[in-house]
Amino acid sequence: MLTEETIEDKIEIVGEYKKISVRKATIIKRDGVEISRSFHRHVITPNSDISGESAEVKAISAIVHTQEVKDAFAVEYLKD
Amino acid sequence: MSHIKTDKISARTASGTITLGESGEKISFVSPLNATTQFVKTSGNDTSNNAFISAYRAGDGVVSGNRVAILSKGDGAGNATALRFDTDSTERLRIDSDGIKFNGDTSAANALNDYEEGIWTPTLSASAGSNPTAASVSGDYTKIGNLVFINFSILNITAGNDSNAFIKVINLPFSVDYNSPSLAAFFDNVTFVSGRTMITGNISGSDYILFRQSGSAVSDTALDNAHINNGVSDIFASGFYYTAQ
Repeated sequence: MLTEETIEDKIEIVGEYKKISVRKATIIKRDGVEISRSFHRHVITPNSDISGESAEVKAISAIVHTQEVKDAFAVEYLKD
Repeated sequence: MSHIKTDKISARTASGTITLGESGEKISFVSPLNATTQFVKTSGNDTSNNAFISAYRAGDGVVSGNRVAILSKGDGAGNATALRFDTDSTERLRIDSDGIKFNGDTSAANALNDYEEGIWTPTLSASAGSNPTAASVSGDYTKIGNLVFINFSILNITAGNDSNAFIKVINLPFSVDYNSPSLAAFFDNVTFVSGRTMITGNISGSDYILFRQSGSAVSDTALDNAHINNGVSDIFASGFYYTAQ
């Protein structure tokens, strides 16, 4: 029997502005044995819309994306 | 070729030098093997910090799934031990905690430490007003060390007509380390500003791509919503950027 599941198998906090890098793995198994794994990635910056993120990522964002970090990133964002 | 067949050849003591297991595939050069999971060992044992190389198969608590692992442990003084591959007494390849290094190099900065392929979802954003939309998007990436190669397309874009709203692509697969004007882009059905003849992508350290129109003897200007021909404009682009991930 083939099954497919998608999990967030890697969540990293990167750099000065605490960007959150999320890797989702889509895993296909045949009779419980993994036969395929593919990745989808995205990065969440302090000014990103996180409404579509998982509860875990939202919780991390709430902790690391403080107003101070958001303000600092906004200054850098406008510079670019 | 002659063969000697026997049920078992073993040293008389536990610290004997050669052991052939019951099924004939196990060889230990120095000390006893883990009976069920370890089938090659050259020195030391798996609970000490002595330098040694061992091959494991699934079920030992170190290796999961159907695979074999070759493990290199420390030298007993807390120093990590590299796996080295030499030819003619010259080091060609080394694998240590930094990654893969070549030709005797020991610098962590020169270690190849990551390779990954996958997909990402390029998403349009505007610096002001509402974000543009597209009928379809696709993107893939290959990361080699600190370089991320991206390729993407955004088709049938619809945007407002706000010339103050610069178009950006966000949702990059890895965090950008610093600005890089390195994205080649092909646009279908966009309106150029007078005097501008080409568009390239500028990858920002703030994790987005801005497209700049440039021409001879004029300053560049960013692609904005007013340059999009609604419903028919497309972006095809590929390039690379640096990441600290």
